[in-house]
Amino acid sequence: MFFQQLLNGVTLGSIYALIALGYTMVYGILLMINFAHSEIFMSGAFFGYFFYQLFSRISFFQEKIFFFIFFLFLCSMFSTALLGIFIEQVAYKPLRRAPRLAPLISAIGVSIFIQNFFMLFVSNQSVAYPQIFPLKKYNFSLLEINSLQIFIIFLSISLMLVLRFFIQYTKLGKATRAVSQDRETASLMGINVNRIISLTFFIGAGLGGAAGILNGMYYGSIKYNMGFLPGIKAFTAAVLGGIGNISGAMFGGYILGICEAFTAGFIPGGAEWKDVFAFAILILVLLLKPSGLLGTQLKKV
Amino acid sequence: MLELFNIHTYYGEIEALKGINLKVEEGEIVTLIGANGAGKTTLLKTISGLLTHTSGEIRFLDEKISGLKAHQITKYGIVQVPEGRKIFPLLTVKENLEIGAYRKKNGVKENLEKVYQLFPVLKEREKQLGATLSGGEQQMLAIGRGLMAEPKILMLDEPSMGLAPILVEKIFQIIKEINQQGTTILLVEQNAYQALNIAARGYVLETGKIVLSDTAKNLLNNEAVKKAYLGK
Amino acid sequence: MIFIEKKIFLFLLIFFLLFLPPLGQSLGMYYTLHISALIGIYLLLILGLNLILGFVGLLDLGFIAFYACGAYLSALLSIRGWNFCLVLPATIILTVLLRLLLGLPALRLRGDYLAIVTLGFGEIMRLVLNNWDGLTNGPKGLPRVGEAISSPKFFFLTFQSDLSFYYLILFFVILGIIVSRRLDNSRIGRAWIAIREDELAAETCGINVDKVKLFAFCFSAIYAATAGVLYTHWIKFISPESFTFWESVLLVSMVVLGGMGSIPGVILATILVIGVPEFLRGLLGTQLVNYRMLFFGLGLVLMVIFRPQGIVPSKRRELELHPSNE
Repeated sequence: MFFQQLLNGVTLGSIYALIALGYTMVYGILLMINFAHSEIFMSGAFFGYFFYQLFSRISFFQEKIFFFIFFLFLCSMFSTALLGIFIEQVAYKPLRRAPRLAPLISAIGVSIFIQNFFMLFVSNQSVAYPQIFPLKKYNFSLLEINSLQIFIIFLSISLMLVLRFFIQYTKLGKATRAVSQDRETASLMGINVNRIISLTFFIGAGLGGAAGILNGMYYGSIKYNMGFLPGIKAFTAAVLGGIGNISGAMFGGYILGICEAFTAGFIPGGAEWKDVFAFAILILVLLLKPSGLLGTQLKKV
Repeated sequence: MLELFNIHTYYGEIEALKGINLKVEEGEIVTLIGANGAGKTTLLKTISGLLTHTSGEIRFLDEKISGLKAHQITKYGIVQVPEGRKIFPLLTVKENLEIGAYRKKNGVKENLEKVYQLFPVLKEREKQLGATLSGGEQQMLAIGRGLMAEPKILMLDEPSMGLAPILVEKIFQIIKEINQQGTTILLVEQNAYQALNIAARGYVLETGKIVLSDTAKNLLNNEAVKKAYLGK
Repeated sequence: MIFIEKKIFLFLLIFFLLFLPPLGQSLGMYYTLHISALIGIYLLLILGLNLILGFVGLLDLGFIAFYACGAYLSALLSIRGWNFCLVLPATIILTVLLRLLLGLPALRLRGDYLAIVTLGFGEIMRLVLNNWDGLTNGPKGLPRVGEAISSPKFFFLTFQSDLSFYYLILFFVILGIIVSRRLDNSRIGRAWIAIREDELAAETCGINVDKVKLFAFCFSAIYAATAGVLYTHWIKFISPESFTFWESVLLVSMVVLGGMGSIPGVILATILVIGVPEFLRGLLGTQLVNYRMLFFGLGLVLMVIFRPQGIVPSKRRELELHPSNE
C-alpha cells in the first residue's frame, strides 16, 4: 500500500513538476507570477486532443505508435509554446515597466479569456480523453504499475533532464541564466533580452502543454476549468522548492505529489481534504519560508 | 572612430546630458572625468544603448548607431564594462567569460586563452561562482568578459572603484596594456590623476555638459582641474 | 473630472438606485428589484475591496472568503433564532477577527505573495464550507430542510417586503460610501496612499505601516461581512458554489475597471458589470450573456495596458500610474 501510494504520488508529482517549471522559469526572469500558466496547461491538454483526432485520420500513423506519440507531443507542445509566447507579447510585454501588480492583473484577464474561450467554442462539458496506447498492468509483490504511469514518469523525467542540460550547458541556456541574474548587464553582452524572455515563455508553456496531455491521459477526461487546481498546486510546488529555482521546482513537484497521495491514501476522509492540505502548504511556506526549501537562486532586486 | 554630436539624454524628467560633443580616435585612450552625478555613467549608457538620447547623433566608424538597442550596439564592437562590475553572481568565472563572447561564433577558445594570459588568477578560479570572487578579481573578470567580445572600443566605467591602491595601479597598468594591443579605450574615472596619466586626451564633465577638453598632459597642468579633481 | 462633478455623479448614481426598482416594477419588469439588490450587495463588497486594493494597493484574491464567512455566520445565527440586530454585529465582529488572524502574518509579505496567500485562504474557506457537512450542510447549502432564515427585524421595524429590504441594502450602501469617502480624506487615508506609492518612504515619515495596513485590511472585512449578511437574508439560501475564486477575481476586475481608489469609478463599474448583462439577459436571452466573461477578460487586459487608471480615475491615482520613463 505504501509503495502503491508512493507510485501514485510520483506520477502526480511528475505532472506538477512539469507545470511548476513554467512558473519558476518565468518568475526567475521577470519576477512575475504568470497566472495564466494554468490555462496554458489546460490548452495543452486540448491541443493534444485535437492532434489526436487529426493524426488518427492520417494513414501514415497507423500501426506506428512511436511516431504517433512523438508527433502528438511535439505538435501539441509546440502549439502550446506558441500560445505562451503570444500571451507574453500581448499581455505582459507592454507592462514591463508598469507597477508590479499590473502584469498579474493582466494575467488574470488572460486566464478568464482563455477559459471562457474554450468553454464557449470548444466544450462546456468534460471531454473524454482518448486512450493513446493500450494499458498494460505489471504486478510486483509490493505494487502494481501500469504502462501509463511508466510513460508519465519516464516522459516527465526525460523532459526535465533535457531542460537541465539546456540550461546548464548550452549557450542559450547560459544566456537565460545571465538574463535572470542581471537583465541590463546581459544586454551589454549582446544578449537580446526580449528574445530570451520569449524563449522562457516558450519552454515553460511547452512543458506545461506536455503536462496537460499527461494529465488528460491520467484522469481520462479534460474540461475547460481543469487548469486552476493543478495550476495552483504546481505554483505551490514552485514556491516549495524556492521560486526561480529550476531544480527546486522539480523537487517541490514530487514532494507535493507524494504528500497529496499519502493524504488521500492514509488519512481517513483525506481525499476530500487533500486540496485544503495543498493550499495550507502554500500559505505556510509563503508565510514561514518564502524562499522555499532549497532557496531561490536569485538575488532579490 | 566614435563621434557624439549634441547628445541630449533624459532620466525621467531630468535632463542628464545637455548637448554632449565628443570624439574618440582609433587607438586612443580617452578619459572622461567629473564629479558624482555629472553624467559620466549616463553618457556611457547612452553610447552603449542602455539609455536612448532624445536628440543628437552618435556615429561609429562613420555609421549612425543612434537609437539602436544595447544588444545591437555590441555587434559593432562597442563594449561597455559597467560600473560596479556587474558580474553574474551565479555563473562560474568561465561561464561569465563565455557570456562575454555571446555574439561570437568562433574564436571563443582563443579569446579565453588570451584573457587567462592577461589575468592568470581567473584561470585558477575558472570553476568558482562569480559571487565568490574578491573585488579586484571581479574587476578583472568584468574587464576580461568585455575583452571576450573582441571589442574595437572598450568603455570602462569606474574600474578602480572600491579597490585597494595596489590593485588600482595594476588595473590601470592592464588598461594600458590592452590599449597597446590595439583596443581603443574610453575610460570614465573619478580617480582623475591615474586616468589622465595613461590617457592621451581627456574631457571634463560637469552637470551634463563638457566644460573642458584637452590633451591629458594639459589637463594635468590645468589649474582648475588641479583644484577640482586632483586635490592640489 | 473635478471634485464637485464627482459628488454630483455620486448623487446621480444613488438617485438612480433609489428609483430604479419601483420604476421597473411599475413597468412590469419585476426582476429589476432583484438585480438592483444584487448590485447593492456587490457595491458593498466592491467598496470594501476598494479600501484595500484601491487605497492601499494590496491585491486581495480571496476577498470572497470573508463575504462567505459573513453569509454563513449570519445564516447559522439566524437559523438559531437570533435577532437581526444581534446577527449583524456578531457576524461583523467574528469576520473581522478572522480577517485579523489572516492579516497579522500575511501582510508582512510582498504584493504578489500576499495575493497568492489570500487566494489560498479563499480556496480553503470554500473547501471547508464544502466539506464540513456537520456545520454547513456541505454542497447542499443552508438552510437545511425545515429551517429558515428570518426576515430582518430592527426592534419594531420589520423588513418583510422585498422592496423595503432593498432600501435597507441601499441604506448600508450609502453608509458605506460615506464612510469610504471620509476615510479617503482622513489622516489614515493619506497614510494609505503614502504606503501605496512608496512603502519605505511612508515608513520613514513616521507612518506605522504595519498597523495602518492591518487597519485597512480588517476594515474592509466589515464591508464584506455586511454584504454577506444582507446576501443571506435577501436570497435566503446559500451554498459554497457562490463563493469561488472566480468571484474574487470578478471583484478585483471591477475595482480595476472602475479605477483603483476611485469611489464613483468602482460604483459605475459594478453597475456596468453586474447590472447591464442581467438586463440584457432579460432582453436578448442568455446566449449573449455567456460571452460576458470572454469580453471581460479581454477588457481587463486592455484596461491594464491602455488605461490603468480605470474608467473614472481617482485623481491621485492618475498621477502615479504613468509608467516611468527610465
